[in-house]
Amino acid sequence: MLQLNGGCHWWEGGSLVKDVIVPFFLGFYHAFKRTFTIKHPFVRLRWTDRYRGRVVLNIDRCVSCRSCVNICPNKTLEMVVYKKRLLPQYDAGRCCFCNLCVEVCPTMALSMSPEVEWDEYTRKGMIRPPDRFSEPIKPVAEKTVTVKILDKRRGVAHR
Amino acid sequence: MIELSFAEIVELILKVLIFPGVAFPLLFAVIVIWFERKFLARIMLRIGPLHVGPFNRTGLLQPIADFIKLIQKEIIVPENAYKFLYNLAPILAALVASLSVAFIPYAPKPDGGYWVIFYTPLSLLVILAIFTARPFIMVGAGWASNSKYCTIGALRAALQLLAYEVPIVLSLASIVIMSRSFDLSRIIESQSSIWFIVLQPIGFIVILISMMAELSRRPFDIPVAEQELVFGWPTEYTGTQFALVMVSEYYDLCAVASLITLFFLGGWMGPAIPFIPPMLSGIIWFLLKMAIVTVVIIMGRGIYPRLRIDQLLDAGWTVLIPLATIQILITLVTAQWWLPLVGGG
Ligand code: SF4
Ligand code: SF4
Repeated sequence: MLQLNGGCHWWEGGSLVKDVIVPFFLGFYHAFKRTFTIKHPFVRLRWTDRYRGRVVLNIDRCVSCRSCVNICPNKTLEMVVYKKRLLPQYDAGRCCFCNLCVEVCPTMALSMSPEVEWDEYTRKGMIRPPDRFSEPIKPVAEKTVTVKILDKRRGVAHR
Repeated sequence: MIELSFAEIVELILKVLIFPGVAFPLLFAVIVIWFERKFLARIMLRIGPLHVGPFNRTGLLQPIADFIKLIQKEIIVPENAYKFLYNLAPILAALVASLSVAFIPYAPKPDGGYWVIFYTPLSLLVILAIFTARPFIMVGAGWASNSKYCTIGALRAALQLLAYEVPIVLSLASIVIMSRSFDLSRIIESQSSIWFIVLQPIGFIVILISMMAELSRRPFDIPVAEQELVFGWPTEYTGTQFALVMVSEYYDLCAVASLITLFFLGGWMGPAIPFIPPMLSGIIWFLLKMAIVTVVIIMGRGIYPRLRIDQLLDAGWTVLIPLATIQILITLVTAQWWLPLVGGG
């Protein structure tokens, strides 16, 4: 028989059943399986409890001791005057979520929140003065899902 | 001068404008584009279009949104292009692709005729001629664009024609032998007791594969191979022209799904649905079978990797053509036994 492409026919190196027929039905079966991705803006992933997202300040507890500013490795925090008080201001673009400020704060005024969606349109918007630094995290979407291992062959899936 | 009565004129307008004329392939294209995106997404365990349209985040109007976006865009004609042919090709592609629907009968009428826009006893040959015209438009568009990707894509389209055209014609020969007619409605009528997919399974597989190559669907999307040739022969098209090219592809899919239904799945044949006139139930059965064929054709895009052009030619000439020939021989030998079943010829 005439042999093109270096003696390798299109059907060689595989079998009709394994490479053509089984994938067909497997694909059809996949179409009715749970999807791996989620309808993101409407459904969100629920992060684990100690997830390190944005740092949140509790204004009432802060005693303006400046420890957090001193320990921060990235110069993320800076003391500013806000309503006649000296309070830390947070530059989200610089934070590396190292948790040092949270640990060092004597009054537990700082805490790590699980919030991850705080994008801004400008770089200046990333700098959060004490009022925005202390605003509570946005309510998550109407529905949240957690990561769960379902299938050994397929890896993680959401539920 | 043909004298048409008022009822006939109304019927003709209904056929041309709504079904199976202008509106039906367009609606088919919109629904299939949405379904394809959603279904492929589900095969890949994604979600697919989500935001546009009603019905609880199904993205139902996504194809229409895409279409509106494309219409808004500027039409850019490359400086070195052969302008006349470049601008003509997308229009021709959509026109030629929508032509074939005019010759496909979709249901029997109560008075003994067929629900078809233009009836001719040689409709099979007309359809083949229309199908052969498409690669020439591809080649013309690719050449007129005067860019390397388009030219390579066009040449590949021309080469691909060599691989699928002969098997299609050969396996249609066995259908013509069986039904003793070039008339598409006669071909359906002769399947009233048994569908041709039972009598000619080899022919069905050959036709399915070569029709997928004709449509340049995924395992055979060699002329538009995205990873190698940006977008193949329509690379340079933008805006409305690109929309026309896309729509012409789905018009073709509509025609091919209709044809496979008609050749092998018995067209409008099916058990009568209660409380529905036989013509309407015929159309419903036809559309149902078309939908199944469309799903099978679309599946290829989610599952199979692309063949190389030499592999396709190799497969066409060493596998499909012998298979089609074997089918002709089997049909010739066994035709006399089946003839009472297919209406005596
Ligand atoms: S988490 Fe680390 S980088 Fe971020 S503000 Fe606190 S100390 Fe600075
Ligand atoms: S360490 Fe705590 S109490 Fe001290 S300034 Fe920072 S936030 Fe306020």
